[in-house]
Amino acid sequence: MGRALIEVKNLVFEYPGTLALDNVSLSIAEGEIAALVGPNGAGKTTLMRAIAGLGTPISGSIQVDRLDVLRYPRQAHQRIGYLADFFGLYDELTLRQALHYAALAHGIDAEKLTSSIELAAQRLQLEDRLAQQVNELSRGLSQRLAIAQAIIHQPNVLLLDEPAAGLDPQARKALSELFLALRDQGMTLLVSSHILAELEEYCSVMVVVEQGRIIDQQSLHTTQSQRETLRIVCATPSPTLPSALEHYPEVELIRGDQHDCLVQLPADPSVQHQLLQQLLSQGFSVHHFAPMPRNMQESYLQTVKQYQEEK
Amino acid sequence: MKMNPEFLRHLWLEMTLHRRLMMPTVLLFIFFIAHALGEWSAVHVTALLSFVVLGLLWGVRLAGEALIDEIDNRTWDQQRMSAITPWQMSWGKLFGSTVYIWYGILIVVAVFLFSGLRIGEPMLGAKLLLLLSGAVLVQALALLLSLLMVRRSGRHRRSLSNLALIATLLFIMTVAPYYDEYYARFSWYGLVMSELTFFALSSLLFCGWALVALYRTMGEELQLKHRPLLWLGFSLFLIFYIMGFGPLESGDDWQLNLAGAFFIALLLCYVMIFIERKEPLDLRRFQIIRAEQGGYAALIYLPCWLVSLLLVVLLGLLLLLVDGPKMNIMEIILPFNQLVLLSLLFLIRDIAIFIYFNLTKQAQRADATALVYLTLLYLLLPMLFGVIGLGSLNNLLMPATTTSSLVTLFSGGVQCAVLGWLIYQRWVSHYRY
Repeated sequence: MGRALIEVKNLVFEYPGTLALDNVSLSIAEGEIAALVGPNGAGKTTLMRAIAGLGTPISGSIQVDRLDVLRYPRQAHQRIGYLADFFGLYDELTLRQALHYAALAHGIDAEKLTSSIELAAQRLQLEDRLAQQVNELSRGLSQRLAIAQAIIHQPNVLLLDEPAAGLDPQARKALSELFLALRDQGMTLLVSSHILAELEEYCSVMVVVEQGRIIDQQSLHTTQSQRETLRIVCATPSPTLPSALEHYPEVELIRGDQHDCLVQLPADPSVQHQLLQQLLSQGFSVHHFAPMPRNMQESYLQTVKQYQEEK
Repeated sequence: MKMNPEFLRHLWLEMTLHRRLMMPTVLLFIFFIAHALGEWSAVHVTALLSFVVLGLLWGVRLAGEALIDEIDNRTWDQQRMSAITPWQMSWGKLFGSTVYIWYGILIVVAVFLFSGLRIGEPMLGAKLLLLLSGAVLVQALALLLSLLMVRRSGRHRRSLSNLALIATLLFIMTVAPYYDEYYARFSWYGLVMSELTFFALSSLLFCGWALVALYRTMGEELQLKHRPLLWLGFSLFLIFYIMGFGPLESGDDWQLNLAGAFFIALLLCYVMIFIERKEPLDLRRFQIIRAEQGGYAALIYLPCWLVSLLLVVLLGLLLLLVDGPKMNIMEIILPFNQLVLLSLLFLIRDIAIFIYFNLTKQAQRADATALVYLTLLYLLLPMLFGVIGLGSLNNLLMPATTTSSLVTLFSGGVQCAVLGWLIYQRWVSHYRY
């Protein structure tokens, strides 16, 4: 885990008569892709805009890359890229002009202009379309251009508000791959979305916002010390399988029958190997032994349910 | 030198080859026809009219819509996130959105000067200064107005550019009678000059103020907060400027000057309470910053109307200390200090009306509602009372028309107290969690 790149402390944000963010604290480490999830009106966009230095909270502090955003918003903008949920483009420009404008607007020096434009276009796979006019682009390509504009100054942090909205499945897939590539190039991303299944593909942290509060922040990485869910399937009926699994001290049986069992156990590969070895030695015809993919949607719904029950 | 990105973008969009060819072609046709009809004097007048149409009317429309276009196209946030400085953004938008107009103006100015020299037009330099500074002034005001409206309500209206056009027409109507006044002399603080020169220099001065105001307001929109010292500076400048016209009588000069300053500050306070953003949450921000960083740091959340109110109160207190002359207002003699006290009281009442309506969740129409109430209090009700023979009731509604100032004082005090209570109630119900 890297150092905290986005650090929000006790943030209170109000609109006239409405408390939009209620004492929100949040920390996103360098190199993470954090998913900001929650229902409409939960405060996701307000939080993103506050981090981007586009809104003035009532109190609290926001640091991006150790820079106080509220005190030095203009300097912070040089470290942040932001794509709003409803963004606009200059339709009458060509892609090259649009990127040229974005580069100049972000203060990139004249001698680095061309290389910055080419790099941004390359990152977003737009290099063949630089002469094309913006109003000729599809929704997916417009989205890519908007992201290219937002990252042309190579910010450390990229904030994306509902970036996949309105995209077809192919474009969404390409967007997921792009986010992972940007992460690999050293960027830290905060992405808000309603489509949890997609966030699962690339997010490493889930931040749940509900009624202006952060009710949970959990890592989606599985470390060796954490537990994970495994599915064990036998080729032939094995009525004693569930009871046999219950005998292992580190294994918790979630549900099971003579064919198919779901268990929780440490993510440590040696522990899992040991269990498999013992099952096979006991004569169970195990033909499937694999961790279940982590279900973000389930996890989110569980968190919200728990929060509402506690309330 | 690095190109202003905002200006460059407008250059790409506005100065296409076709448009670059079209402007001189159309203008040359116009000037050719004018020359055919009335030689160089007709060309000169045509150049003047072309300047007015391009620089003052069309330019105002374009400048007023420059920011509105960004908001409509949802590109404003992207610009706010950029490294463009407030000054770059201000002049980039001001001269970028109107770059095509200024391209035409360059041609018009060349023709204006050439034809002027041919017909021996006097004071060409002063006239050109008046025209150029006037064009920048009204265009800057149009952009400033749209910026203020966006900041005030978070919304925008294209009809605002019509408002800017009306202001421009007022500017033209004010300046036009003096355009040919070469010999009439003007005295300002004893400086004697021609009316044309005076207006040209005044236009230049106010143009400077408009650009500074645009820069500051743009800075606020780009999240750079300032203490409202510039507004205080402008208020003092305006007082100083206007006081320079007074045909001062002997004896009561300084008292009249002080009274004049009081009423100018009063007027500025009314202007500011109407046009400035009245964000109730700024009060909370003010309290928190004051507690955390001290009073001076918290001044960034001090609204300009409050600065004006403090100035009015200060000048009012000074006036109250002066045993001034009787002032003849609407043919009713009122003691000077009572008039000051009543003006202050009713200013506070009127500000309270604005604040009360702005303390709602949906405050978009708050100022318009407050204006309706003020129209009712200052115009419709007095007219109604006059018609039905109850004119004395006007004493309860406004200062200056009364001979019974104690009743007015009491009425104003009660109204302020009631509004204060209503404001407190609304604050508690909407803003206390």
